[in-house]
Amino acid sequence: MNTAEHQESCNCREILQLVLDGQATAEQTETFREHLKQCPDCCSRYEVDAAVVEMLKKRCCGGPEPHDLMAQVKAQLNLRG
Amino acid sequence: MEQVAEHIYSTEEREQLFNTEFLPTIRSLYNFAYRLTLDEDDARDLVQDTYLRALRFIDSFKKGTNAKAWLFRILKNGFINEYRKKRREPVKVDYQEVEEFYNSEDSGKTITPDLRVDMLRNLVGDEISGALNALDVEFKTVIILCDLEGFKYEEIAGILDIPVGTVRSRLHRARQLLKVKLAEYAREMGYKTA
Repeated sequence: MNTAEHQESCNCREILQLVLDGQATAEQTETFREHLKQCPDCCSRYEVDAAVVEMLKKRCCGGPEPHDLMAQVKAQLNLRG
Repeated sequence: MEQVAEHIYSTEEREQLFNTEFLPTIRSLYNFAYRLTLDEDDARDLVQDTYLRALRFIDSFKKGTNAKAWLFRILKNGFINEYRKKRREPVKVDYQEVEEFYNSEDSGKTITPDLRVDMLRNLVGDEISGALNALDVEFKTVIILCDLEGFKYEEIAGILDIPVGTVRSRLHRARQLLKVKLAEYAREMGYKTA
């Protein structure tokens, strides 16, 4: 299947996203894994998307909040503990 | 705020909710606020304001529901209503239009960036972070909520007050835009793209 046909003929872009986000059903995941074995386009797209998500998780979650923020918030709310 | 049956919490219950459910999310809230405002002081103000609003509206919080999603929704609304208004910052992108474009039949062919895994491996954290920060707020937000905070589509829809289908299309578009940016960085580093 060439790229154009591929884009016309299946909804794998949507399923790719569901699988990537861990929100596909077991059946959708299985179907998609089978599809990856025969579709280099989807395979490389999935690898890139998964790598981007992995890098985001690793690099963008930020450090700790400013050290005095918690105390400031608690003081503002009149909270103990 | 969402209309839910209100529960009147006692002072002890309020303190317990804050100490066990609300305050432990402060790091995620601060990171979200910082990504939205790109300023440490503004992020701090936004987080403080979020907790004050949480206290004010605590009776509309339904015990047993997702406290983190509830707080993220308050923070997002605070950012849109107060912070943006104060700065009179216009919405930079008509994302409705962008989503219509995305949903059109030929969008997939025109916006697919040429990015490979080996190119990504050579990018450093600052570039990923910079690419995320450079996205328009609507796109940046869905990536933060989904990829960094692990919210499900339904929860994101609730936080942003948009349909689940829009969450998915906006997320797809946001990742495409992010990849375009990353491909640009990779090209600057000397990688050849086809």
